[in-house]
This record gives sequence, structure tokens and C-alpha cells, in this order.
Amino acid sequence: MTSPRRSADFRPDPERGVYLTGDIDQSTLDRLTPIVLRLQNQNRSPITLYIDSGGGIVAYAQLLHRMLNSKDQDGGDSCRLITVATGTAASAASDLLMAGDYALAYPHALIMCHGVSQRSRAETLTHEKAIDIAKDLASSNERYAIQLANNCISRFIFRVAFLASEFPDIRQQKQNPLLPHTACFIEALRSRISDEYIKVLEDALRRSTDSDALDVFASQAMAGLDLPQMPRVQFESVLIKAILDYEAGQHATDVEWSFRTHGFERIQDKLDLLLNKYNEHHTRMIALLCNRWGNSFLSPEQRAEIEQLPEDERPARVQETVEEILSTLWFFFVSICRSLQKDDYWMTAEEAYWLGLIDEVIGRIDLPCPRIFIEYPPTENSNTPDENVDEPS
Amino acid sequence: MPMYRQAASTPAERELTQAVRRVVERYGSDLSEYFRRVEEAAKKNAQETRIEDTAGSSRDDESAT
Repeated sequence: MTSPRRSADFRPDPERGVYLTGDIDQSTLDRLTPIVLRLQNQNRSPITLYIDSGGGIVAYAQLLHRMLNSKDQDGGDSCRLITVATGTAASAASDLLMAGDYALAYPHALIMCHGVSQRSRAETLTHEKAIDIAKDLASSNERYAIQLANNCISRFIFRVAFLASEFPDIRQQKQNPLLPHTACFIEALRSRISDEYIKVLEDALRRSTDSDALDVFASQAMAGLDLPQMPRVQFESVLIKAILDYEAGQHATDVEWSFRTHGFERIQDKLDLLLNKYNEHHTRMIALLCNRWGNSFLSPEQRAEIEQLPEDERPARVQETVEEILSTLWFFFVSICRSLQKDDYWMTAEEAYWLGLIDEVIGRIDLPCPRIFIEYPPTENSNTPDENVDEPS
Repeated sequence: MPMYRQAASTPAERELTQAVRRVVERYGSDLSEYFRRVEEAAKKNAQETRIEDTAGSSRDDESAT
């Protein structure tokens, strides 16, 4: 048997490694910055960030990430970032782990996600100050949830695509042929992750259904508008009006509910969520997901229908067909990421894998990862899968 | 400034997209068969590497004596 090709873009390399250990603070940057600069100066091959850290100050973690992601003087691409949890990756260190272009963890590694906290200051806390701090923390958590979702959505979609072969049996067991992908995904994970995380997924599903409905509502409000030409403030105004109408419709029969007492923070959160959906990074990510995974979400009938079309028309039709499924999965995943900001969530490497937070658990070949698509490609002319997977590219 | 992964259009991500599409084209939307065969192949490769390593270390031992 021939050994598979080893792809440097998907494998950690200690020769180009940076070791993040202990608390993340100014001394971490002092220690690691010269190493990062030297590696970037050598060549633009991937850099591996090995992580064993309980976290630290978020601003320093962001600075380190920016340093690792910087372009060269001529504007050339930054080095691809491979991140590996070797022991603990908690708090700001887990943000760094998941911000890797390819994120791995050793099976014994422990990963912890949680919301932002603020150390109490030695000053008198008034009611107004307490409200300001609470608002700051809530808004930071929302920002980090969206960041986490953007960084990990392609991993999450891969998990769903991998488990999709189990969905027909699940639908049969539940006697519901229309059970959505989101609910099937939770059922498929029941035997794979702890009850604590099943509960996170179930809560997330309940809340994401609302975001999904709002998205449909807002899309209708924006139908026919020339969005790219619209000034930002006008665009936001259309979205805010859509959110107001949606919320008013949702609470029309609730005599206790009012915008003044319940609504404004929800409007802010929902505006952030929708605005993110229309930002450039997110749009590129969804286009990538449709392009990469679109075909795997088609039913055999849809596939057959699309194969009848001229080749240049197929990608657009695939996107049109699967966009709704991917959009629902996106809101579900944002909802999961929001839940992970609400408490301290310690998880094993395998749980992080199933939740779509990392790409690969080292040594666990039973847990498929993106690397294998590159390293085990099917050959062009073979019809037998047995022969396909053993061939080098 | 959030910590975002690099843009989706890097060469490595483009290569991955093409690789996934090729596999989906060949195996359809049920990828379990592909993954099962990859797992088998990976195990076999690991076993062969171990045999080669053992043979290599035996040769090293012989040359050392």
C-alpha cells in the first residue's frame, strides 16, 4: 500500500512552532513576538501555535493573533495558522485555538469556553455603573459568540454533513420524515457527547428557531431593495423597522410585554445578528460553505435535476437549493455559541470536535477531519472506493 | 477587533473545497462509506509504518554492535 500524501497545510509542524504556555499577558507577547517574527521572516509556510494555557487578558490574546496573522511588507498573504491544544486551552486561549485556520487537540486536552468577565475595581459601585458594566459584558459576549460562530461554522457544517447519513434512520425512528437537520443532529449526538452538551444543543435549537423566523421576516422586508447601493444608515433603518415589526407581531397578544421593559436589548442583539449576516466575512463564508458542502445537502432527486442543467448554471442552483438549510444551521450554531458564552463550559477534545469547535482530535482516525479529503483523494478513473482511498494524489 | 480566521479564499481553503467536492461527487451525500475506507487505509498505513520502523531499528542495532 502506498502511504498517503502529507499536507503541510493540515499538519502541525514543531519546526515552525510557537509555544503558548501559562497566563496570557504582556510577558507572553514579549516572549513570543520575536519567535513569530523570525518564523514569518524565514518563509510564508504555516506556523503552528501549540497551546497549554488557562487564558488571560483577552486584549493580549488578540494582539498575539493579529501578530500571527499579519501580512508581509509587500502585502503578501499571512502565514496559515495551525493551532494545537496540547494540555489546556481555556478562556482567551480557547479563542486562539478556535481562531486557527486548522485547529487540533490532543485527545487528553481540556478546552473551556465562557463569557467575558471583568475584575471588580476598587471603586464604589452605583446602580448606573452596575447597569453599564452589565451592558458592556452582554455586548462583549454577543460579539464573541458571533466571532466564535464565524470561526467555527465550516467545522460545524462538516459535522452535520458527516452525520447526515444517519438522519434518514433518525427520521424513521421519530416517525417524522420532515424532522429538520438541526433536530436530527442533536439526536445523532446523544450517544456521542455528555448530557450537559445535549442540553446546550436543545436550548440553542429552541432559541435559534426565533432567529431563523426573524431572518425570513427581514428578508421579505428587504426584497426588491438595492442593498449594495444603499447608505449604511438607511440599510440599518430597514433592518431595525423589520425587527420592531417582528417583535410587535410576536408579542401582539401579551399584555404585559412592552419595548420599554423587555424589548430594546433584544433589538440590539437581533440587529447585531442580522448585520453580521450581511457583512463581507460572513457572506464569503456562506458562499464557501455552499460551494464546498452544497452537493452533500442535496437529495438524490435534487441532484439528478441539477445534473440536467448546463454546467455553468449548476453552482448557482446548488446555492439556491441549499441556502435555506445552511442558513438555518448558521442560526442554530450562533445560538450554540451564545450558550457557550453564558457559563464555564469545560469539554474534552472529542466533545469540542462534535460541537464543531475544532477540526481534528490527534490520533482519532475514527473522527473524520478535513485533512483526509486532501490526503486521501479519490482517483479519476477508478470506480471502486477500495482503490480510491489508497492512492496518493 | 475580533479574532477572525483568515478569509475563506486562501489557497489551502480552495484546495480543501475542491477535495471535498471531488469526494462528494464520487460518493454522493452519504460520506460514511468513504470515511470507513479512509479509516481502514489509515490503520493499515500506520501498521506498515510500525513494521518499517521496527525493521529500521533492528538494522540500527546490528550496525551498532
